[in-house]
Amino acid sequence: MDRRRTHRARRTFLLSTGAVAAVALLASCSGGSGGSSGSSDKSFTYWSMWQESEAPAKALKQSIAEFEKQTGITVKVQWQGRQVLQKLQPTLNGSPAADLIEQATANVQSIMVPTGTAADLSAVYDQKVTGEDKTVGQVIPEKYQKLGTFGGKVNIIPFTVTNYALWYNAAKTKPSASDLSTWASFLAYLKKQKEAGQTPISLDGDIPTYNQFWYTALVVNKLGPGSFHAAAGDKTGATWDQPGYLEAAQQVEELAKGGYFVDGYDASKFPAGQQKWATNKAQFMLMGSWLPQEVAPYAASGATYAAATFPNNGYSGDKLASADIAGWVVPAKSDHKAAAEKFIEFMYQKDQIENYAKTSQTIVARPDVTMSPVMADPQKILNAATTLYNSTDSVVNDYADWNTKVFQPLNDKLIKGKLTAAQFIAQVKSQSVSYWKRNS
Amino acid sequence: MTATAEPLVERRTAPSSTLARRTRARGSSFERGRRRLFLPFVAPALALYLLFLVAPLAGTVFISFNKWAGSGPMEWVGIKNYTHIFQDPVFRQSFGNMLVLLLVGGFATFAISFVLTMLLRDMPGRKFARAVIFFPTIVPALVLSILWGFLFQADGLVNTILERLGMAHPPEWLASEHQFQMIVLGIVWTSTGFYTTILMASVDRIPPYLYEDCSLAGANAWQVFRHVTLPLSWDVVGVCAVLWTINSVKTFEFVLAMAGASGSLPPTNTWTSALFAYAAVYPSGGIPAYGASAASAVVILALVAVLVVGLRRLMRRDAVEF
Repeated sequence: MDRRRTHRARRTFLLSTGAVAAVALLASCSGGSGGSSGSSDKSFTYWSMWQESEAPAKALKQSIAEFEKQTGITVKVQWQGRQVLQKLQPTLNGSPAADLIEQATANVQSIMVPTGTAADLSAVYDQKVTGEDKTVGQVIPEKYQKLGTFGGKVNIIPFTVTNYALWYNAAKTKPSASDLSTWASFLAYLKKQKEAGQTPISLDGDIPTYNQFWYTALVVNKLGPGSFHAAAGDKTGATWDQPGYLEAAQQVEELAKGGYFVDGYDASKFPAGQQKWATNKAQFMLMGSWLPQEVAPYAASGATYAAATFPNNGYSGDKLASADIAGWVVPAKSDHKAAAEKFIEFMYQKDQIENYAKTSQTIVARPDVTMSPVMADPQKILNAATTLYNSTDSVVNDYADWNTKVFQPLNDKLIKGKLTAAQFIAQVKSQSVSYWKRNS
Repeated sequence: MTATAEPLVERRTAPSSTLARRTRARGSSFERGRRRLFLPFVAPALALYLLFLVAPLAGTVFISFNKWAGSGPMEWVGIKNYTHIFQDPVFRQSFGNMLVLLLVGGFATFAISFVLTMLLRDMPGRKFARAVIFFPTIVPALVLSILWGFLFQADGLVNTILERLGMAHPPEWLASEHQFQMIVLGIVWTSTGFYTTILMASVDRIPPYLYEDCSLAGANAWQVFRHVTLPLSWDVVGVCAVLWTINSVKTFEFVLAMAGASGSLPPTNTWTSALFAYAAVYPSGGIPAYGASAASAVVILALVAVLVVGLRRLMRRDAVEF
């Protein structure tokens, strides 16, 4: 009897403890639905993708101080670093922990756009920039705006732009404009350089995304923006057999097997590749416009960095350039949208955004301001382009899992000379078909 | 405790006695008191255990039956996440890598640990040697894994030395096809000191006269190991095997730090199941798949449970008294 009672008591206890634990867990998961009302817009919380010690944070701090002085709105800033969206994500459904973040397109498009947790900021484009006749929408070029608009909703207001281009040290390597105009002339130039004892290209082959820049650029500059994206999303795999895809793979194969890449690119650790480039052991690097800043600590002295857009590979349409944007994002359930939007507008005021561009040495989304001289070439490339394509032709934004599991492993083998172009296309096709069969 | 105490009471008292029956039913006043105090004493620990271990575990199992992006609504998909991950060649490769690490890496770690234990057993200055061997365990694994990559890269220290020694084309250690092997080697290197230290502590307890007997009887090193060291440290070996199983199945940061760079995921050919679970939630882009990640975590947990129970049964021996 006693034992049965004890047993029952123990069971009741276990169940009730379990229930308490479950309730506590659920409560913690819901993130609380409370929060202050929209009326108290005297402050808002801003989570930055920068660390406090980084150059952009320095400029942002100055702007925040000025904003607080002018508007009386307090900015509760936290320097969260690059993973800001991952940290914010669990609170997006309840009461978001931040009212404003800045973030790159791919993350927002993959995490916030499908879940509808990013606010539509169209109204910000209609706001007049304080002290000017133009609206925010008028100072940001439409080609940048397109990269932050999804299904007609403005989820990101572009603030900084990264350009992907062929970087070289103009003090040592002096290609002519015609050398860089088409793939054929560029390859001929590289060949000449190789014969003269130079190493034409450097690459950190342990980073699948860097390896991918080459095939993406070759395909898009052959078949046009959206061509790689179309093949990636083709569930039948038939697109891979269309003309152009194999040829682009053959061009990568030629680079790999022809010894154009720097020694050890296939068995080194980042940043060995870009160190070699920065110390003049290789001439070109296909990389984002962050490169000069990133190599600064170990760069050879006297370097004059120049950038050229990827050579035309047969595409006859618009003038292309590769670019990614990062910009302002407000969670849909933010309680302080108005204050956050006011701050966004404030950041496009000429002196604020110019200060940011100079301090951080990045390209900003307002082309009429003066930027760092290092960014002169990428700026020229971006200004000259009529159409911009994302560094992975938006494949990471829409088919990231396919990209990681199917494309990148095969592309790594292609660029390291372990697969021929024909094998590459055959395997991408067959693996894509089975991937999409599993995932649809 | 109560269960063993009761038969004793039963044996000591006459079955017909009323007092005996009462005693059997309620136990002594000391036992009753102890039983009353059982709940209040156990409850706080149990509550914490339930709240911070069992509840999250139950949550993980629940999530594994859902499709969930980490925010937004959850969609019940039944066992689809499980069937899906087992159909995914990347998961199968990750699972295979994990098994390679567990079995091949485990064999290598224990073989080296035993050899070191035997060599260091009566070596002069063994305390110092032990400290040196244990050192990698103190240094954070992340630091070692990063260093490991830099040592073996194309122009790294290892190849520079090999070139100086006259090797014209030193191996490409970090080439894709060798990368996971290098990871296993690195983990073996960082783990060996830890297991050697534990095994040595156990071997130190073995009376020296047994080894003296062996040398008088003319036993060779293998015979000494087979008939003295191994049987007398068997229980510790069992604990080490369980620890290795748990640690190797959870291996994650070494792969991420050695093969990944610049905030990107490592190439899929180096993934383990734990890294697969991480990559599902923190992909390089795309919608986080919490369901697939949770399913992968549950598979890891189930595997650990099966392996640990299996190991315990396999290694169960009567304790040797000495």
